[in-house]
Amino acid sequence: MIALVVDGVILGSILSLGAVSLTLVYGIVRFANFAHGDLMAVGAYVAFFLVNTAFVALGFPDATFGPLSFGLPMLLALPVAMLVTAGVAVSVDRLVFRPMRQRSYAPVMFVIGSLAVAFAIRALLFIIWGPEFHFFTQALRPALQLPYEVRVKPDQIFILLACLTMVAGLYLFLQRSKIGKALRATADNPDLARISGINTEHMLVWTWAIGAAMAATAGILLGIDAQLRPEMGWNLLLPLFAAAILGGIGNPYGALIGGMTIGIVQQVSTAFLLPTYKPAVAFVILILVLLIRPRGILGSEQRGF
Amino acid sequence: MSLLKADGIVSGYGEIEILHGVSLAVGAGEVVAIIGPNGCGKSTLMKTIFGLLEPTQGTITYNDADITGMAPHDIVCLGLSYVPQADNTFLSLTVEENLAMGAFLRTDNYAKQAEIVYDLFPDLKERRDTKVSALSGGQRQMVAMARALMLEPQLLLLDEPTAGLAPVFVETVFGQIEHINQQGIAVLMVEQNARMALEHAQRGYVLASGENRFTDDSKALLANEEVARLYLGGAA
Repeated sequence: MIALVVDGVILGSILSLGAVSLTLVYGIVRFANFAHGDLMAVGAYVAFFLVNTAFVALGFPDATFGPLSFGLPMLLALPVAMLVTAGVAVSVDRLVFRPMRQRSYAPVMFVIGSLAVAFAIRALLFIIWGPEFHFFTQALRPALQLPYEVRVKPDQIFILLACLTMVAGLYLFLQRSKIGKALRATADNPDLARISGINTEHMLVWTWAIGAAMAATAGILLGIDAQLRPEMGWNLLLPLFAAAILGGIGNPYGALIGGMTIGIVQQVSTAFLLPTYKPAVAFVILILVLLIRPRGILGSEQRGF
Repeated sequence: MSLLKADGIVSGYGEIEILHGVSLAVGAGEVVAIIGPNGCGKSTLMKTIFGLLEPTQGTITYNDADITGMAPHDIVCLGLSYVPQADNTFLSLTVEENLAMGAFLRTDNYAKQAEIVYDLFPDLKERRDTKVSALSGGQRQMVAMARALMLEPQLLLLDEPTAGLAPVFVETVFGQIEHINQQGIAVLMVEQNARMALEHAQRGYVLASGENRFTDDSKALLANEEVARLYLGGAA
């Protein structure tokens, strides 16, 4: 049981990172971005290309760090993949969503647009890397034996710490930095932000870049924990939305709680149900939240966070 | 010489035309009130001046520069600030953060200007780390005006600064507008509270059905029988 909770925390930390970035983007661009999961996959595949193809071709040593299954190449690939994914998201905004904003499309059109982007990205991943599973490494690393029969892979501890660091970093950025405060102001009241002299188009660029970089990290961590598949992000999209809504859509701090809750409940449910029912568990929670507290845990009537 | 000049403004929302050619001017250091019945286009005029709506005809100049159709974040750089009627604060941000957003375009440290603004609104200084959503309506209105003063504007546009406030706060707000004006800042305000607005202004414009109806010194407007009967709710 405790072992399942520990597994749930690891899954929950990846879900949290994805949900926090999904909901941050939602809070500012004001539509549900269905391509968010596929941005995660882009990050994972870019890192895969760097670690398993580009760096190998360049003759990088592929030494691993102690008990971890990866080493320096992965740590170099991570920021590059974040930047590339941010670039993809900002370009998509420029090419698809900005023209729609300029023509004042209805919000639902943006959602459908993001769905089209999601299909396009996934199709590209299929074309380039094929439908088969990929692994960052074939190396097997022994799990650490902890009390109460808990087994944790060193990689999983890294995943948890990486997620917590990213979310804490986002928190500090939003609360302390001038741009972070301006992002919160734009989420709260975009018209007033413009009146105050904030160029909200610039804020959208920041939002897409930060959201996509965090999504890329979540994708890479998911790839480290499991494997890479073109539909890896798409399959996570619904749990991500469940986590974001559970926490209060548009509120990144709520999404952290939502992600952890969904992760833990999904894993613990496997003690009673077949693992194939895991996604259904997320939806039962989601439906309960919508019935009991539609605003979500930290959601409020107001916008902003 | 006029600081702000609007000439023959035709504007509205999409297909719906609200202003059918309104003109007005505000001189440096002046307090000017725009009054008129509900739906006459007062707020539409403010939004059009500040670039939130684009006029289909007419020109707006500020310090002799054409600002017609400019984006709000560019207009605010020129020394013009705007406090909308509703949703005029960042509710999820603290008082201090609201001021910081008002100072977003400043490249220097805004702390000095914040102190000047806090001196105008001492109540806010004690509550600088409070979220605006926890403040009363009157205090929120102060935050809204304080935010708009952070770039040291020459002209402040106020849309219904006393709307929805308790009578005791209405007096306070007009007192604060007077204070702001004493710093040499011109004020253009739209007000439902027409009589009080004219009493605190040097000049007034009466709008009706999206057109200029009367333009005069406030005293003359207050003394005008027709204005009093139609727009001030009683005899002069």
